Parts: sequence; C-alpha cells; structure tokens
Amino acid sequence: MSQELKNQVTSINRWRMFQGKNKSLLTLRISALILGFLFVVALFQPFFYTVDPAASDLTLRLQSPSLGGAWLGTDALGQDVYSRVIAGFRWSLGIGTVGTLLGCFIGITLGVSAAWNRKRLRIVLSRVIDIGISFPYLIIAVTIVTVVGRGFWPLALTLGLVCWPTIARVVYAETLTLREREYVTAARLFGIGSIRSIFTHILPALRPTIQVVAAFTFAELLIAESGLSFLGLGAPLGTPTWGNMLNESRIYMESAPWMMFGPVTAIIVTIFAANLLGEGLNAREQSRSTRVSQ
Amino acid sequence: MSSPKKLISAVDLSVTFKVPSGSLRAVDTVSFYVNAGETVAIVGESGSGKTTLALSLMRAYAPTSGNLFFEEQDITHLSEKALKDFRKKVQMVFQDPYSSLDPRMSVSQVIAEPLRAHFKLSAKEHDEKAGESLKAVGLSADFLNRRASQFSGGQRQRIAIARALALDPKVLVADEPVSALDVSTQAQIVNLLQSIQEERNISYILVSHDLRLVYHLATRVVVMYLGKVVEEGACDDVVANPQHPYTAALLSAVPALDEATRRDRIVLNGAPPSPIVRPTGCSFHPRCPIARPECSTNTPELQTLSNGRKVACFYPGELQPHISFTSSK
Amino acid sequence: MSKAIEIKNLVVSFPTPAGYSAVVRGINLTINPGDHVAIVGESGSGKTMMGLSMLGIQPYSAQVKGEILIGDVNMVTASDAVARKLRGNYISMVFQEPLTSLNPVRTISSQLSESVRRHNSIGKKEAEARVLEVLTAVGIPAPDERMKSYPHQLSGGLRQRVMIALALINKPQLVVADEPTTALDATIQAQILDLLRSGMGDAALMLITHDLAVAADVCNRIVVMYAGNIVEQGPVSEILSNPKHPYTRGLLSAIPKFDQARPALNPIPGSPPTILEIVPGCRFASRCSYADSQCTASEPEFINNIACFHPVTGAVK
Repeated sequence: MSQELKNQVTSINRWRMFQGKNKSLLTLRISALILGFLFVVALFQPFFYTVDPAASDLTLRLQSPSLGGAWLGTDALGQDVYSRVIAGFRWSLGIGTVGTLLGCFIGITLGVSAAWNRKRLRIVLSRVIDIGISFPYLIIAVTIVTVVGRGFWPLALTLGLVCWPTIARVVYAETLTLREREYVTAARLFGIGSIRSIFTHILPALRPTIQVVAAFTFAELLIAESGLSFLGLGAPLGTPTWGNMLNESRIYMESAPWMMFGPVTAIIVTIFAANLLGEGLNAREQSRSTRVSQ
Repeated sequence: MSSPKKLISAVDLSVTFKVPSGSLRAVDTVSFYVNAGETVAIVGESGSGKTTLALSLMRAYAPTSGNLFFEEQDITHLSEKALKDFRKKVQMVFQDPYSSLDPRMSVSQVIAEPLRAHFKLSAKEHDEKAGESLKAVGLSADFLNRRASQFSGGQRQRIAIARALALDPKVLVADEPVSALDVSTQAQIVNLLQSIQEERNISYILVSHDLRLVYHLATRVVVMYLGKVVEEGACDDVVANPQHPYTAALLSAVPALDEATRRDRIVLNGAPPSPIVRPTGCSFHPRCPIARPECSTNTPELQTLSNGRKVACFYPGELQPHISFTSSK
Repeated sequence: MSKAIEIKNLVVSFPTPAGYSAVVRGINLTINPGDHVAIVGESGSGKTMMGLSMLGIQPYSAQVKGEILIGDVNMVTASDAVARKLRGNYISMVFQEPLTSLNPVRTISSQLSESVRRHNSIGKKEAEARVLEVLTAVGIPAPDERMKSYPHQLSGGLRQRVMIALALINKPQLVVADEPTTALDATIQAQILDLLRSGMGDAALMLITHDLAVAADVCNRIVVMYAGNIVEQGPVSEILSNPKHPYTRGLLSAIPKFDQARPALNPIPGSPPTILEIVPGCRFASRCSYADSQCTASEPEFINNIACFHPVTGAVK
C-alpha cells in the first residue's frame, strides 16, 4: 500500500506545496542581488564615474545623451548627469540605512516598553506612539533644518524621527501578543527578570516582523529623502542627491528631459528592490509559520 | 505530637480581580497547606478558582487578602527580588506543552533557563546540567541542540518537567499536566512523575479535573466550587465516602467502563455558575440534587468532621455515587 | 435504506516532501441504522480525517480514494451540489469546539431555521416550530427564550447541545460527533454523554474519541484505530472484557482506574508513527510486546474483526 501511494507524486501538488517557499526564495534572491549591486556601487563610487561629477563645463550645458560623450546628457551647469547619479548613491542609500536604523532603535524601544508595562506606563507610552504617528513630518523636517541646518546627519535624523512611530506601532501590537504567551509567564515564575525575558523571548520572536518593516521603511525613506531634497529641506544646494537633481530638472522638463531620467530611474530601481526584499521576507515568514508540523 | 513540616501554607487567602462588569472573587477565603513529600490535588471545574489558587500559591501575584507562608516565612507581600529564593524552590509545569515552551529556543536553552536566572554558568556547565535533567525525564542528551518545536506533546511535557526540576525544587505545581496528551502518553508521564517524587521527595500540588488521575497520585484532595473549598480530606476517604454532594457528582461523572455505574449516575442540572454573579446561600444549591429550602438562604461554613475531614454542607454524606473500585494485588 | 453508511477501502492522503502519505490507509466500515459506534484512537490514528471525509469536508489538499456510500451516493466522487444536499440532511456533524463552529453573529434560531429550510421547503413559522421542538428534545431550558440568543451568550454545555440540535434537526441517518465532550467540564460532559446515548432518535451515531471510557459510556460497538488502520472491532462488552489486539489491551490498561492497590500504570512504550514514516509490516509492532519477525515483515489483514497475527485472549491484567 505504501509503495503505491509513494508513487503518486503529481507535479501540481508538489508545486502547490513548495510554491510559498520557492516564491519567497526567488524574490529574496533577486532583491538581494539588486540591492547588493546598488550598495557596491555606493561603496565604490569613484570607479563608476565617467567624469568628475563636480566638474562643470558651461560650454557643454544641456547636451542630450550620446554614447560617445555624456551617457545621460549634461545638466544646466554642464555637469555629467550619469556621474552625478552615481555620486548620489552614497548619499541616498546612506540616508536610507541610517534613518531606518535610527527609526528601528527608537521604535523598538518604545514599542516593547509600551507593550511590556502594565497600566499607567503603557497608556502613556502608547499615546506617545499615537502622537508620533499623527505628527506631520514636514514640521519635523523644517524644525531640524532651522535648528541644525542642512546636511547628511540632520537629514538622517529627520528621517529617523519620521519613521519610528510606524515601527513602534507594529512592534507594540506584536509584543502585546507575545507577552501573553505561556512561556513568558513561565519565565517570570522561574524568577527571570523582565529585561532578560525581553531579550531572550520577545526580541528574537520580533526579528522577522522587524526585518519586513525595516525593508519597507527603507523604501519609504528614500522617497521621503527625494521629496525633502526636492522641497529644499534636505541636502544643501548643489550636492548630487537624486532629490536635488529632480528639483533642478524641473525647469528643464521640456527642453532637457534627460536630466530627470537618471535620478528617477535610480529611485525607482532602489525602491523596487527594497519593496521586493520586504515582500520576500514576509512570504518566507508566512510559509514558515504555516508549514505542516510533524 | 510533631506535625509534619508545612512547606507552603495559605491562610484565608482571597484573590479578587476587577473586571468591567464588577469584581470577580476567584478565590474566596481558602486555607491550604502542603507538607514535604506529599501530593495534594486541587479538584474543580471552570470557575472553581483552582488555577488561580495554584498561581497564587506560587505568588504569581499578591493575594487580595490573607497570608501565604513558605517554610514558616510570610511571603505574602515580598517584592520580586526578595522572592528569588522562593522561586528556586517552587516550580511549575503547565497544561499545554505547546505554548509553555518557547518554540525558538533549543532544548538545552529551555531547560537551563531557570538556572541562568539564578546562577552564572559556563557553557559547559550549562549543557551538563541540561543533559542531566533530560536523562532524569527519560530523554536522550542528543536532543539538547534540537529546537523545542520539533518534539511531540509527550516529549515536550517531559522537557517542561525537566525544566521545572532543573533547580531541584521542593514543590512542583502541576496544572493539568497530562490532560493535553494521548492516553498512552499520559500514563508514561504519570509514571515519570511518580518515580521523580519517590527519588527526590518532592511535594506536588496537582490541579486536575480528572478524578481517576487524582485518585492515582494524590494523598490529599481539596475540592473547590466557585472559589471556595467545599470538601477536603485524605484521598482514599474522599473518593470512597464523599461528604459533599458536589464531590459525589464529580465522582459520578467520571466516564464509566461498566454498566452499573452508568445507570446510577448523578447528573447535575445547569452549568457551573459565573463567579461574578453568585447564588445566594450555598453557592452549589441551584444544582444540588439534595438541596433543601434553607440552602438558598444560609451559607454552610467549612466544618471539620471527626476524622479530620472538612466539608461545607448542611447535609454531608447524604448523596453517594456508585463507583466500582478494583483491587489488584 | 438498509445501511446508514458504508465505507469501502477508504484512503486519505496528504502531500509531503516525500510524496503522498496516507493518514487513513484503506478502512472498511459499515454502520447500520440506530447503531452507536465509537471510533477510538489517539492522535495520528486518522479518525478525525475519516470523519471529515465522510461529510466531504476534508482539507483541500487531502486526496480521498475509495467509497463512502450513503444510500447510492458515493461522497468521494459526488459533486459539490449532491454533497451539499446530503450534508446536514442525511449526515451531520458535531464538532469539538462549538464556539468556533457556530456563527457568532447570528442567533441560534436563525442558524437552525436556515438548516431546516435549506433541506425542506417549509415556511418560516413551521421552521421555527421545528427549531423549538428539537431544542426542547436536547434539553435546553427555556428554549423559546434561548433560541433568540447568540452563541457567545450560552455556556459551553448549552452550545454543545445546540450543535447536537443542529445535527439532529433534519432527522439524519447518521450523526458524526468528533470529540464532542473533550472541551467540557466533567459534570457537563456527563450531561452531554447522556444526551448522546439516549437522545439520538432514529439516527445512528458515530462517536470519535480518544477515551475508551467515553466510548463505553455511549456506544454499543467500538472500533479501534491505530496509525490509519482499524485494528480491532466489536461489541462494547467484548472489547472491554476480552480485547484481542495488543494495542487495545494497552489502551485499556493505561487508563487509571479506581484501583485501591494503586499499581503503576502500564503505558504503551514509544509513540505512534508519524505521517512521514514508512513502516514495513504491522504499524504497531515496534511498541508491541507480542511482536515477532512475522509482524515486521508484512501487514496483517483485517479478518474476523481484528488485524493482528497474534491476537491475545483473556482479560486485561
């Protein structure tokens, strides 16, 4: 009987069962590849330049793209668009990463503290999170620019302060559930303190969720950076960031549209890869939790 | 006359919870004790307060009123820090082996967790102690590095027991330790618990609804209904000659392997009442087959009978179940 | 119809990394009208999957083969439309956890009426009368008031009675009850067992349980399943006094009884094979104290109500 049954493997059913696992693997691999490549470019920027991005030659301004000369054309100051796009990598990816890390640090700390404590502290902290979510991000940006000025770190700070509430909310909800698990109660009854319990039981269980949220947050921060730079609240004028380049290309939209293509493509590709990463991580976690156990 | 040393003793313990619809008196003025080496069973259904009582005996929370003593020391209002020593000596095994172990941890980490809370251990000592505990519950030390989630219910419960034994406690509180397991696995775990008790002279506080199991393991039985103790006494006595009608009904409700017991079953009306809205007088009277008019107006106190038995009923011993005992010698 | 249900060579399998693996491995079972049959088995025995397949509500990924004959309809091959006509009508089910099997946003009365009206063309008033009738029959106090409640307003025992009422309302030929009392308190369990024993009317009852004592309490025939096969079958008195299969004997002796001598329990060593394990020969052999080389070489057939090469005689212990 068992031999006969063993032979009844149909490819459809095999695919159905592995679909979850395979789909997430593929997604993860593609996104990892793209993001990996992007980070390599950011690290080894100078190798990818064709010309010095800061070099401006007013005689060559607003030239359309050509394979022999500037691959993506030149901008209003005669700078090579392609090289400037490359120069923008370090800034944009760096801002995204630092902002996300900052947001995660604040978000996790507040989210776990709010969910872990009972009564008053929980009410206070969860209200803090609520206020954070509803706070308009532009005000934060303007305040910081006014107080600290513009630059890499102020922008990173802004972005971190903008994204932590969403992370905190997710962490809060998840920790509330985890806190009620019997093994957490058991730990307390063995004499294990709160801090230790949080690090041993709660944080490891939060890791998959945080990874997913972080990936999507990274994507959002890139858009936010572009937006803020576009509004003049981000990088100082002239710094080759994608947001700034978009800003500059606005006036020349009809006369020199190639100025936009570079930065826009870079933004789209990076965000796409980050979102794909988030989805892949999510799918992997789903397939893990619904696997047949035995 | 020397009385045996009381390890844990509770005097007039009450636990009340605040709920949106009022206050819930889960445990109502209960006195309880357990001596070294004995097994006391707390028996009851939903709403009886048995789990709340067990948790308060472990000082999971401070009782609303009454006192809790451990080895003659009053621990009722001690802080968590001061309780650390107590926590080493009183451990718990939970009902659901699937939720009481962290599925992400390895078996070794699970078992040694209580040890890590109290002592600093090197990695080698950690694994050694965990391995010893595993062997004591009949599992191979090869399992140390596997994740807890890879094991069956029976094996997980063994791991939970190993964890509870890691600190060599004096009292083990077991809340329905086998009810989530298959019959043949239940028997394995029950035998394990018995042999551990013989080896280490641990006291057990067994919370269970299964009277067959209670009869098998316990020396003393405490029957609870709606937060109060309604009967208490030596296990043999209580099962052979129950004094409270509720105890009689519980015994009669055990699914019977033989026809005669089935026919004479005492079936109660209605369901266990909610602890928020309590009946007047004796809390059992709405369901009691032998209730008289006075039972709805007067509340029976827990009185001690001649042979040391305790009952809270105006007509003790009147209702008797038909149980067939076997005797294999 | 002469038989309430006839099951022939039922096989239920699931896809695993190693191909299809069967949880129900070819069982044959007949239930006659009015029979009370208990399917006794532990986890992994396949008893729940068998129950679900009988109603055609097994999980989507399960593959079912064989025949499940209700009248001349084979539930295995029947179309959805045909199966729906039978479900709740000729064959119905009572689940373990009534809170999740009853619709929480509809009153008892509306859920029961819906079932009646789906299978009979009668008006609303008539349907409600029928609902009242069956609620009274299952012992719900103040049924006319209770019918207007929602499931969460009732206690566990009452909800289970409602489930039983729902199962009985269309006068089925067979009611399948899957661990109906496991989630209930002891005294409530006693009430429900009484109801199952004497309140089924003309319907046959198939009670799925892991507790032999519950089986003995309610049924007149016991079918013992282990790891996907039926290993023994017979009248309750026979099985209890003279079980022949070593597994049945093991189950019986593993239950704690009110034994004044308090002997150590006799558990069956080891644990049942998982769905992924391929076991040559008898699937119980590794845990059986009577097993020999014949047992590990080939699987015993189910003949004379037992599947064993070495049936044992005599009372247990």
